[in-house]
Amino acid sequence: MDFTIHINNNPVKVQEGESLLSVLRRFGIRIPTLCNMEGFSPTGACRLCVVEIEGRKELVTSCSFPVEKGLCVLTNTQRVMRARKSIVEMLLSNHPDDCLYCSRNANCELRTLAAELHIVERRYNAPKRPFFPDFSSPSVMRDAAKCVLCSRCVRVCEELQEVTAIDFISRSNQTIINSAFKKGLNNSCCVHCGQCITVCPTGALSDLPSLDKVQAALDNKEKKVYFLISPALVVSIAEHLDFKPQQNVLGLLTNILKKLGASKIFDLSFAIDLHIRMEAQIIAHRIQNGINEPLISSCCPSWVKYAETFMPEIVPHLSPVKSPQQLFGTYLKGLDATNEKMIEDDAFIVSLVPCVGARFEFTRPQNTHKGIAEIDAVLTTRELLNLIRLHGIDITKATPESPDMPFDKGLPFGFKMGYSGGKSEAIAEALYPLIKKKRNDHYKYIPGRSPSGIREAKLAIGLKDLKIAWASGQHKANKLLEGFRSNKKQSFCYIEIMACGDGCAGGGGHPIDFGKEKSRIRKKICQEFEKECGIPNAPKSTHAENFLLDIQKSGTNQALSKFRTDNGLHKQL
Amino acid sequence: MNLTTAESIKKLLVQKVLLGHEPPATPEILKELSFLGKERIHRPLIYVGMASCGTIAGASKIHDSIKEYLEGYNYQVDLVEGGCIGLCSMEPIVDIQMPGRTRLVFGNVSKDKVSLLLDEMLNYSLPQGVDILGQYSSQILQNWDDVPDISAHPFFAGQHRLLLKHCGVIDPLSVAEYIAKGGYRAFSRAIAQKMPVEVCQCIEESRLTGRGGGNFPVGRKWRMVQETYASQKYFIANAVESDPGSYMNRMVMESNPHLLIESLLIGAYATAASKAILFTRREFDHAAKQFEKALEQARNFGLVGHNILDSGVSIDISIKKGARAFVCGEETALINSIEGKRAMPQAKPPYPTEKGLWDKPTCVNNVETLINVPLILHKGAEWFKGIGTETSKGTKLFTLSGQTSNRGIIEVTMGATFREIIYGIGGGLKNSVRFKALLLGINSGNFITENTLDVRIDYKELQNIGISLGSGGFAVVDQTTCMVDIAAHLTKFFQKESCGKCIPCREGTAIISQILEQTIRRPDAGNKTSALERFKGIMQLKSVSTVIRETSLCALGRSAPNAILSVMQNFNDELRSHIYDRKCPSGSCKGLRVFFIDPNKCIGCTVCFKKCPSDAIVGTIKQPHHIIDERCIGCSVCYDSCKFNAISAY
Amino acid sequence: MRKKIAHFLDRFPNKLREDLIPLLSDIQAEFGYLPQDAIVEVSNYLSISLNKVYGVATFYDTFWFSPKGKFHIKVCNGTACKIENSTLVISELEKQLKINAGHTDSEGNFSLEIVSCLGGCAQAPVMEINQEFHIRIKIQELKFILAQCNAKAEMI
Repeated sequence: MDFTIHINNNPVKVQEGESLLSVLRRFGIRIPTLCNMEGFSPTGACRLCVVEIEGRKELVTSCSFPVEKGLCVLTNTQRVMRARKSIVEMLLSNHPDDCLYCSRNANCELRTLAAELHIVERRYNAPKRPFFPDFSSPSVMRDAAKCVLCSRCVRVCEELQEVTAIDFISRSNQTIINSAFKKGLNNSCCVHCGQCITVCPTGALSDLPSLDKVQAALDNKEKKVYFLISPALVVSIAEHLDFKPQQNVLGLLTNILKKLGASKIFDLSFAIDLHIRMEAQIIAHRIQNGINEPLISSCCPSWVKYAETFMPEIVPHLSPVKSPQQLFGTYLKGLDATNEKMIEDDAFIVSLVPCVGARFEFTRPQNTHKGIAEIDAVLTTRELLNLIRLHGIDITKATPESPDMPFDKGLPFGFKMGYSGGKSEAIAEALYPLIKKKRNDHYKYIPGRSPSGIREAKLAIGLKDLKIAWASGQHKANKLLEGFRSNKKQSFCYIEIMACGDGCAGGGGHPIDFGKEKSRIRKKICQEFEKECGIPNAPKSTHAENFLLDIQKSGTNQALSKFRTDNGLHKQL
Repeated sequence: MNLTTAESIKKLLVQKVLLGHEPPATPEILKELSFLGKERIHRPLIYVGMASCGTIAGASKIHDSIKEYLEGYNYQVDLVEGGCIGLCSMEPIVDIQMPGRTRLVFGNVSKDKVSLLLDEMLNYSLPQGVDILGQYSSQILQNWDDVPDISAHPFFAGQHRLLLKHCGVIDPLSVAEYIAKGGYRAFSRAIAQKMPVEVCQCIEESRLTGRGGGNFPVGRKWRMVQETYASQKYFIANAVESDPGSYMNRMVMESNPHLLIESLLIGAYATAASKAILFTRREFDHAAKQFEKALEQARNFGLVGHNILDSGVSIDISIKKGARAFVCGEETALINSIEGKRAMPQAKPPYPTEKGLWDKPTCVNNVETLINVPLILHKGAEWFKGIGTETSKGTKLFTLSGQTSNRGIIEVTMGATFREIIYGIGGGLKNSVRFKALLLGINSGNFITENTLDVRIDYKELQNIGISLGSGGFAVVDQTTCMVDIAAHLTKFFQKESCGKCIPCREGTAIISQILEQTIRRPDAGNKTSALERFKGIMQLKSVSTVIRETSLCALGRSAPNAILSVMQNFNDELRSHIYDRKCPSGSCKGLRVFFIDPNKCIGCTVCFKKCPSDAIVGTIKQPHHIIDERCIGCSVCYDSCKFNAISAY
Repeated sequence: MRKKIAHFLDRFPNKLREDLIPLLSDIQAEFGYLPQDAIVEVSNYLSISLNKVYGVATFYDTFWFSPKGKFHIKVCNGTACKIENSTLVISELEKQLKINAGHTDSEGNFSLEIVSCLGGCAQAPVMEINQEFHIRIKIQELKFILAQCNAKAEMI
């Protein structure tokens, strides 16, 4: 039902059930909030979105207030402004005030609020909170002193990811967000998805600093530094480097990295392509041998960690193929059985991904071989931006340049990997040539949604009907796997799971720009870019070709033992 | 009629009284009821007030020694663990009723007085040297000569005891006595004759409002739940009572649990909730046990559970014991606590009446509010409307504490003035010091001063002077207490008890608390900017307080700055002398004392010199010492350690 | 630890979220505090994230995370007691026991807790030592009361 309310004396049409906050935003008034998150129920914790409603004694938080008939809302009275300003000042009273030394000094919400509300004087003085940063996790750094207790990270971790690695501890102004017994993130069930970093309004959650290691490698004359550029990183970095938002900046980025002193730059989409073909090969093998069992993707490191922690019974069903990043490392360094090295011994491989989990993944013991790591360092998009700024690269002077041979060209599967459901489609495409019987067998891929809300696709190749399902975000993944875990018969041949909402497009390593719509935009860009890439080709190396053939002939396990590219998951059990 | 077995008593009470006609028909039944109601007795009867307040005062020791005494006594005597009549400052209280005579109330009974008391009383004579508070006069029993009626005692004379009528009088764990005195009749009649809507209507007409502090019309709340369609609804009695300085609800639970059970039953019936929950604190151990035992009895009588009294109505009552946190008293926090979460209040709407416990419609009422209900149903909405003032109906319970002569739980009609309570019921101030302030609803921080003492207890009138009645704390403060100190104490309490969810309450209370600490303490030695910080802080007090009051998430947070705002309004002189003169007029802020060494008395033993933590004392051995004021932090170590009384404090 | 708290766990066969606080309270009542292993066991038993369980437990004043002394002293600091100078009682106790409120002394004999109200406002100030109440405390009495406790502690 529609009716009219008055905002600052302007009549506005609203729908019943809408929250006042969304109406105000639609009307064009920016209301500051610290705790509000799209897709979550309002908590009313920060009290910054207060507005005055005529006839009411108290100020009302617009986020939790559903519109009513005959409302007269005033958003900018002195009373409201004073309240908002005071609240931010209260937050600042015990803030560490080290904005100049803060990883978020450029895009801190609290700092922006302080500026917007014109806070120029310290009115309230309170003792600083005696909390120390938590460096224990390999991926996420927590500085509780900067925390404003907005509960966004707690809610994301609990409701969206169903991990609950952190929660509120204690009460009153002693409250701190931490894991049990205040033992730090490394002792928690954190799966390193990094979603908490992307929602944090201040610098309380950030990447564990790791630029030094890369810098040292760049400085070392003996070392050759290789950069692997992930396609999912390319789609989000453009606008943060002041390029046009929807521009393919792979070439420009290559040029910039060269200027940083990189030895060679490869496109990670080769490895993605290989990864997908390997998995497709395994599925084809299963189909041909009548094994009716879904293959569950294992390319997302956070999802793997999640499965290991919360559903160990799933682990044997995970795909044995290494994630693209690790696969590429293995392959380049010749760490598989073939010992065919593609690069020098003193190479230092830096993987550039929009993923926090990858930073944890490359440190796992199964991803090293006799002391040699497959990947030597991982930088998230945020850190890459920092590195570029640190080195003072003038973006305007960058000229596009192709990544190094032989892994120079962005392959379409690469961009498909960038969003939830894309990988499934890629698998289907890769599967088609493997199991079609006749030359002109038809191919049909129909994505849809099952009645219970699970994303799935029907794949028809010739006379065969196959089903593929996918989910992104652990909450949805749990729903999808519920049936699988309770041993219900499921007809999926492949299940794709990504820990972050919207897949890598919503990855925890992207630059911080709030809102769900951002990841949707990135997904669209991925889809546009993949069109530019043309038709998928066969892999470009005989080595990979041999490997794929081997799976075809001798089955997964044997082939893997020969090539040693398994991710160590089934070895663990 | 043969009333020797429990079964026959049950049959009489259920069949003839609860399901029978009104009034209970035959003289025979009436006679039986007077025995069950302990108006007439066959054996001597001794009550010991064993509610928590009595136990704290040592009632269990008295109980034990009476028991010991009776073991050596030849005749049978009934010893009952009774409840509390409310006069807690006179605890331990023992009541003795001899067959044929009226019941006597003795106060301040100590262990050594027990044998004297029993020796005399069991021989029908009044003991000397024991405080007799009064007797319960009766027309059918012989009254004691020269003993005033209990209602003539100043503590009781000013009260209007409707809710507390039976508290401390009946055996709390005797369902028979409760029914014999008219209990459960309101409920049995309601389920037999009234629809849930009609019950809601009756309560709405009575204009009963929530006593927990919210003052929301009870009937309207019930109707909102009643009208919401849901597969399951809950009815919760809030007995958390986390507000320090008030324990009326605990007292009712301990002294008359059946009244609460009956109220819960009526509430659950009226809101069509099949599950009623009493939510209390684990610390209220005795109260919870009393309630559980009473609940068992009620179940046994078929008053709780499936198909109550063959009416087709099923209501289950359970008790939940929560952990300790002040904020649990807020209804949404309480619901979170029951669900096993951190008790953080939630933003309203949605209100619990739509989405409460387990997201089902839930009605949460304070115990004190609820126990009004059986009375209203019994005597009618019109009768209830006749009590109190135009805008506030009924009576209100208070926990009278602080520096009055009589302290305890009291019940007064709405419309009584504070002066009447303090000087009438409270018996004036003890130690004959002048009255200074009254902390109303203690932690809500509303101060009544000499000027507002004659305001009537009425929600509207109090609102007009900017004060809310609070939940029922009532602490009287005399001139020796420093109001700034009290405000600092209250603010500190709110700061510690803030749930930490919303910013104004979490950070704001910490800021105020720190500012007030600075005003009642001496600065650290060496901190040169402290005076500046103090003045800066004081300048911000009002603005922080206002923002906390205007923007906090829950009512508890909103009342956090009341204390300091109230001090600024009523005791500004006192506050100013703390800030500017660094003096506490009432002398109770120990941190602001100035110390002085009398050179004539000081022998130069150097004890104070060695102990001073801030090097504020100078001097050499065997020479009089001297205190440097600027360095002194007012810790009073020197004062305490001087053996020659050479140091004096101002 | 599992064995030690098994009989508490058995009281809650339904393993519901709402059982969390009662279960923790039972354990607290038995041990005087919540041992770390017990919290882990509770989390496993009820299938609630350990971090959540710890978050809930730390919210309430009821729960302690380190062992209490043989004599647990609760001093009421409610407003009525405050008016009757309970702050002096607390500072005196802190001085005599040489511990801060909320802590246990090194011998494990005494622990001191400040509670917001014991509900004995008419007899203020009130103090509770192992379920035994001391009312209308005077500062001078404290030494004697503590000495009594010490004597008892030696007997144990």
